[in-house]
This record gives sequence, C-alpha cells and structure tokens, in this order.
Amino acid sequence: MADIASKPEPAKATPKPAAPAKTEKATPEPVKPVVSGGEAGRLARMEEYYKRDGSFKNYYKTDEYKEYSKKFNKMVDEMAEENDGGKFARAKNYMSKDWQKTKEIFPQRVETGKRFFGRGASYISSFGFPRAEMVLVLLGMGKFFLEIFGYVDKTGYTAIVLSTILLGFFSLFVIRGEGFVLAIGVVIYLNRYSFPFNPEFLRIGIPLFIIGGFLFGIKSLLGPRLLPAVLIYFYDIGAYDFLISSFGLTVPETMGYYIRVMPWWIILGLAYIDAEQYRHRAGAIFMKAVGVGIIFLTVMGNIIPSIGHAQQIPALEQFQQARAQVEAQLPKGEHIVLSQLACIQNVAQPGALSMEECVKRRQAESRCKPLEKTDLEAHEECMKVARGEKQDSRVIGTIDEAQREPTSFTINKGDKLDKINNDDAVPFVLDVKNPRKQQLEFDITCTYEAGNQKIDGLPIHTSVVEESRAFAFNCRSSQPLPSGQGKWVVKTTAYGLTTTVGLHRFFVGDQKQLLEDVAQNFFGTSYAQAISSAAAQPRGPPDSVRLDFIVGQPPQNPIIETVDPQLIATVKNSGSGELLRISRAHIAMDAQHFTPGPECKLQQQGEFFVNPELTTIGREKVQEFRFALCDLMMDDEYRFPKLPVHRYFISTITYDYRITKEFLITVYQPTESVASASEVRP
Amino acid sequence: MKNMISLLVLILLLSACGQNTANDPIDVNYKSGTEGIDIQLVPNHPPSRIFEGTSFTIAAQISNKGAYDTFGRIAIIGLDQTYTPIREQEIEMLPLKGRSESNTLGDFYVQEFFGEQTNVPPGAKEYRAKYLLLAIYEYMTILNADVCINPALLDIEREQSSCTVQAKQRFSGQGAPIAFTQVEEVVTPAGEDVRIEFVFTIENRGRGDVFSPIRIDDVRLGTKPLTCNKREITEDELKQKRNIVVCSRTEPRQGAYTSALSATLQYTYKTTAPGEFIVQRIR
Repeated sequence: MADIASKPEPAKATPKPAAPAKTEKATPEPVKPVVSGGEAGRLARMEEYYKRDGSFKNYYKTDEYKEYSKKFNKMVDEMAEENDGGKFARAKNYMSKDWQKTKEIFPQRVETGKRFFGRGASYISSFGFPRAEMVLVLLGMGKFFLEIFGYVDKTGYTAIVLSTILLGFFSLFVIRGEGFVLAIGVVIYLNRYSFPFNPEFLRIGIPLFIIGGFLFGIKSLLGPRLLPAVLIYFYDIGAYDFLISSFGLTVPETMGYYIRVMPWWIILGLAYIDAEQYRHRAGAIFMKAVGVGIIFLTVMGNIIPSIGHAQQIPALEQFQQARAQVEAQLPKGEHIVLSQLACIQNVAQPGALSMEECVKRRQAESRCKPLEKTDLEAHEECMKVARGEKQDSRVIGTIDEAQREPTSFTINKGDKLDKINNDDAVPFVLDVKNPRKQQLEFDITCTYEAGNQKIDGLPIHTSVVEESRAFAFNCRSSQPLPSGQGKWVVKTTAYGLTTTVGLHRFFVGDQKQLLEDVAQNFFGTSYAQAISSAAAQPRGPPDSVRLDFIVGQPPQNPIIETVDPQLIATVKNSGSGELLRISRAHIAMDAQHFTPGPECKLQQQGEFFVNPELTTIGREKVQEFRFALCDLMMDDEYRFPKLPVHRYFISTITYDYRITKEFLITVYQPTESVASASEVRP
Repeated sequence: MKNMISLLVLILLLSACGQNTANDPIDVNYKSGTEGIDIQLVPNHPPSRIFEGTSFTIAAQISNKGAYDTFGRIAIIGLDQTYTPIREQEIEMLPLKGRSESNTLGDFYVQEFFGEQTNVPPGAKEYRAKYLLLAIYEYMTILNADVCINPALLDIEREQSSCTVQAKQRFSGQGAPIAFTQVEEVVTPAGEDVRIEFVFTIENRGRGDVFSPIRIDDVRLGTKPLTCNKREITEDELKQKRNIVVCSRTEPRQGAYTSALSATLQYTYKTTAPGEFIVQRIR
C-alpha cells in the first residue's frame, strides 16, 4: 500500500503495470487517447510537456500535477484507514486506467525498455526502491556504530568493503544507477592503480565505460549526484588524510575535527530523505532534524586531533597508510557524541561535573580501556590520571634529528605480474631501509590461501647490512596452485632490529641560581616551561618499535633538583606489524647512581637498568606496554652536584618484528595462460 | 725684526692652545658604563664540527671591561662526560684588573678547557654538544657624587645659598654591572638639626645576573658615615624592583654646602656565554 502511495507518477508506476507494455509492443501506430472531461485535459497537457521537454520533469512541478497527486494520496489514505474494499478497487481501477491512458499517449516511453542501447538504464533504475535513502541511513548507522564501539577499525579491509558497499548502494538504489559505472571504475582504479593517472587503467576503463554506458545509459557514467558519495568514499579510504599530509595542507584544526567525527553516510542518507514521499511527513522531518542534531552535537565537541606526516605516491594502500597513521595518532576513546549523550544525563544530577568536564573525563577514561586487557597496572594509573587523582605520566617521544630515517622493511609485488600459470612463481620485492647499517636477518614465508586450502611456499632467508636493499624473491609452492581466485600471504620476519632512544637530563641539585640558565640554554625555554619543551622528550628514530622513557620529578621535567626522580618507560609498537620477541632492552642511565624503590621491577646491571620480567607474549600487536614505573633514589653526587651535571641517557631495544601482507591472485590452468595478481591491503 | 720675532712667539703660543694630539692625556672617566667580565668564545676552538674519537679544546677570552679589579672562577656546564668528556669543568679565574688610566682596556686572558676523546651515541649520525661557559666573579660598584646640602626652608633663603639642591640625580653606570641609577636627596628640619636622607636606586644593568646578595658598604657624606635601612639587597628583591636603599644622617643646621656622597656595593656576579659543536660519526 505504502509503495503505491509513494509512487504517484504514472510513467514511473509500479513495475506491475509494465506488463501491458509487452502487449502493446506490436501496435504500429499510437492510438489516439480516449479522454474525457478534466482528466482528458490533464493528459493532453502532460503530452504537450513530454513533447516539448522529452520528459515529465517539468509537468511534475505544476500545480495541476500536485493537485492530482494529492487527490490520489488522499484516496489511498482513506482506503488504508477505512480498509474499504470498494475504495481499494476504485483506486486500483483508477491506477490501471491512468496507466492505460499514459501508455496509449506515449507508446515510445513504454517501449524504452525494449531498445537495446540504454536498456540497462531502466533495468538498474528498477533497482531503486522507495525509502532507499532511509536504508542508507540505517546502513550508515551500522557502520558508524561498529566503528565507534570498536568492532570495526576505521582502516583496513573490512572498513574498505563497508564503504564500497555503501557507495554501491547509494549509486544503485538511492540515485537509481546514476554514476554506477563510474563508481565501479573508481573502485577498480583505487584498488589496482596509483596516481598520478596511470594510463594502464584505460585498458580496463575504456571497455568498462563503453559497455557500461551502452548497457546502463549515459547517466551511469556522468552522475553528478554521485559526487558527495564519492567524496565520502575517498575520505573513508584515507585519500583525505593522504592529501593533507602529502601536500602539507593546513586544515584548520576545528574543521579537521568535524570532518573526522561526522557520520557522513548517515548525513548523506538524511539529506536524500524527501519528506513529501512519506505518509508520515512528521517522521521524515524528524529524521532530518536528527541529522541536524548530529551535526550540532558534533560541533559541540572539543577534541582537536593533530595531523600526521607525509608519504608520497597515492593509491589505495598509500591512502590507507596515511589514514592509519593519522588514526594511530588520534586518541583512541569513546566517540565524542556518545560521551556527550552520556553526560547529558549526568549533568542534571546534583553535584555532578559540568558538561565539559564530564565529556573530558569520559573521553580520558575511555582512552584507558585498551590497557585493561594488556596491563592492569597501567590501566589503573591511566584511570587515576583521567579522574585527576594523579599527574599524567605518559611518555611522549619525538624524532631525533640525528636519526631521522627509520629502519623499515616492506613487501611489494614484483614489477611484471601479468602472465603466470598455476606452477609459476610469483615475484615480490623485500624493500629494506637500514640507515644505521644494522646486521639484519630476514625470514620470508609464503602461504597460498584459496578458501580453506592453504599451501605453504618455500621458505626464504636473507641478510642485509647495507643502508638500503631491494631483495627480489619468488613465492613458489612445491605443488601446482589450484586454479581460481586466491591470495599469497607473505610473512616477513626481521631479526635483530635495534632502536635507541636518548633523553637529556640535568642534575642541578640546590643551585637554583642556575636553573634559568640551564632551561634557557639547553631547553630553549624558561624553567617554568621546560617541562613542555620538545628537547625534554625522549628522542629517537621513527622506527616501528621504541623504548621511550622519561626521568625526573615530575618525570617530564628535564631539570632534576634535590627531590628523588621517577622513571617511566614504555615499549611502543607504532608499526603495523607484530613485535615477536625482545632479545635486549635496557636503559643506560648511570644506574650505579640510583637505587630503585621497593615496587620497581628494574634490576641494575652495571650502568644499565633492565626489566627481567619483560615479555612480549600476548602483546605482539599491542601498541604500548609498560617497561618500568619506578621511584629512584639518587646518590649525593647527583643530588648535590658541585656544578649542574648533564647526562644523555640512552635506551636500547633489540627485537624481532614481523609484517604480513596479502596479495590477491587469480590462477589459471596452463592452457588458459592468464593470471593476474593484485595487491590487497596488509 | 723685533716685531717678527714677537709674531712667531705669538703663533707658537697660539698653536699650543690647539687640539690635543694622540699622545696627550685625556680626561676619561673609567668608572662609567655597565660592563664587568666579558666572555668571548675564540672562533674555531673547537671547530663547529669534529669527528668522533678526536679530542677538542674550548677557548674563551676573559676580559675585565669594568672599572674594578676582580677574581673568581670559570666553569663549563652542559657537556656530557660520556660523549664529550672534559678534563676540568671548573677553573680559578686569573685576577683581572679593571680599566684605569694606566690600563685603558682592562686585563684579559684566554682560558682553555681541554676535552678528551669524543663519542657519538649509538645509532646517531652525530651528537650536538651544547655547553655554557660561566664566569662567577666578585665585583664592586662605587658611587661618587657631589651633593648640595641646603637646610634652608624658605625659597628666598635657598636662592641666596651657595649651592642648589638637586632633588634627583640620575646615573647611567659606575663601571660595573650593578649600578646606582638614581639618588634622591631629602632634607628635613629636626628641631635645631636637619635630617639628610639619600634614597639610592640600585639596578642590574649588566648582561648577567647577581649571584649573591648585594652588600651595601661604606656610605658616606664627606667623611661622615650614613646609616642605611638595609645592609643588603637579595637577587629576588632586585628582580622584583624592591631595589631602594635609604641612608640618612642628622646634622646640625648650618649654611648650604657641597659635599661628596660616596657608596660602595659588593657582590658576586655571573656572566655566561653559550656555545656548541657537533661530533660527527666517522662513516
């Protein structure tokens, strides 16, 4: 019933009346419409509009049509309310008569579906269904809530698939196929090719657009209404972050924040709601108001994330890397809207925190949640900091100018991978950047996966001591690969990676007259501000794993007077791989001058502090875990030095690290002689 | 001929009244300005970039540009003993005489600090060694000013006096970093006597900081000592502009006269000079 009510347009009537069109196919001459009274005039005017404009678009804007539509809707409403079988029959008859007349006047319109060119246009148009935009809102909500409750990451394969589904749904159902072929082209391009424009794409793109345009009509290629969805899709897959970082664009922080937290797919769906279509207009208007509410609540937020640093050549993977990098830098916590909603209840209670404080605290507390599973001690401390019961003791590191380049390794597919058979090897390249010329060992394992089937490839080993090396290798199985779609899963483990981090500290003792001199000359700021100086932070290379640490009282303060300092050290995994094993981790900080407090897990070994209980088991993918949280007692040499003592303490961590990457591949039997591989995100 | 000789003698006499030559003594007030010890790093000691494993020497010219003799110590701070070890961090400064008629530039010498084999922290390509040279020395400031003491109460009496009272005298410096910048004179009748008050304003006009409280010594009017409201000014008081000292004396009332006001400050002062060099890893 409701479908009929939402479809007053005769020419776009429900699919059912399309059946008579088949019977009319043989009619050679258009039959003069049999019309009478006011209805005859209306249909005549409709015809005139069609002849003049080639469509009913302008006719639908006329008052006459609106009146007609109103009358029709009223009838359906009455019918629904009274459940009057007679009225229903009359409405059905009315509808049927209307269709017959339309068909008689405009046989060419009815015949559209029979023409070969663009036949798909009407076919995909028929995919569109009433209230598809509302379904888009629901799908968008699904994605939004999956993300904010942490079931789905904002980056990664699942996130891309969800965004692609939403783009496809919007193109196909909400705007009825407009730009559908273009959307397919965009998705294919992003998955296979890089920017700037790669002409290789034309080999797929030209046939795609010709055949797509031929089948689905020109609108499937040039759909301006697709643009907002494509922009949202670009944002989702990380293109926005990539552009910002690559071109060094400056986005006002507030704007960047809004872009980041806005549930764009929901807003897009809400924007397409046409209240006129709905029987309960108030409901539709309410939904639109919800959209405005979301924007309002979002604007109320006050967390301003920072934007990360740049890579070079875009493609889906680069976009994802850029976004992952930005996401990694953002505080991981409850979505601001959820915090605000939760705090609305609290604010009303007597003695409660203010809205701003409540949101701030919820956000801070939610950021501690990941620690609950990995490090209870750290979690408890994090919560105390969030509640303001304890001073923040996070260890924030920075990049050392003397060690700017990271030690890194990546797996890329080989240059030419267009023709392989099921017994062919697949070429890959291990790219190693080793700026500190470490002695590194690499083990590479390839596994071919197709469905439940797993075939191990032959293991590969190599060593690298050079500053940079591209090591080419093949993934090859001992048996022929099954034909069809599958993927090579390439796991690369690096052994013996070492990262050092340094920390400047001054032991000034009771020489207060020199505090300002030390702060100004060595930390570039006043003594009061030294705590927030970048020079006071631990500095090291931007490697995947670091052992960052701070010492002082408070630990962020680089100038230590006579009060015993505190040491905080954390192991950080900021890469996308797994920290498999730590073979060495220590802090060289004149350990003989310090006595660890009773709760400290560190042990003194010469001038080093080590943590004998440190393990990576169960923490392979954890971004950060505690190495030490200790109170240290200084000896008199450091407590009362004759002159300020400057020390550059160094932490060293040696570890094994694994990255895993998957490459889609289609395997053919030797007779077919064609295979293709495409990289999917790691 | 007699006239000719007279003319030559006259020309000779007149020429003697002309401009001074370089060898003529000049009446220079050496007890002016606001400088004390000055540290100038000697260029290329050490070079801005040295290789790991090499030793280094830091050299600085220490000059006494003030008007008073001094002694103290020179120290270097900020060098990490692991990467840029230095033999001696603190050295006694040689006694240096201040500027005077016989020593117009003041004493100076070059102080060297000897470093040993340098290192670069593991992983780093280079190590930036920042340091701060520190001269901590004893110094003094002496004020000498003529003041008019006039106990007259009526204007007409004052106008007829032999000298005129300057209610405020301002000074730019006395050849030392700590300076008397203003002296205010207040004369008030006290029965048969008059009470004479001098309000001294003391400021740090140098490029360093005071390292000890400033002692106020030997404040005299002519040969007679004055009594002051405080004996010293701390560093904090100086920074917070609580830098006023009031010294006074009661004298029997008499006619106006000019006298010499003198005051001495004694303090420890600190001057610094920052420097840096890079220790580069040998590839």
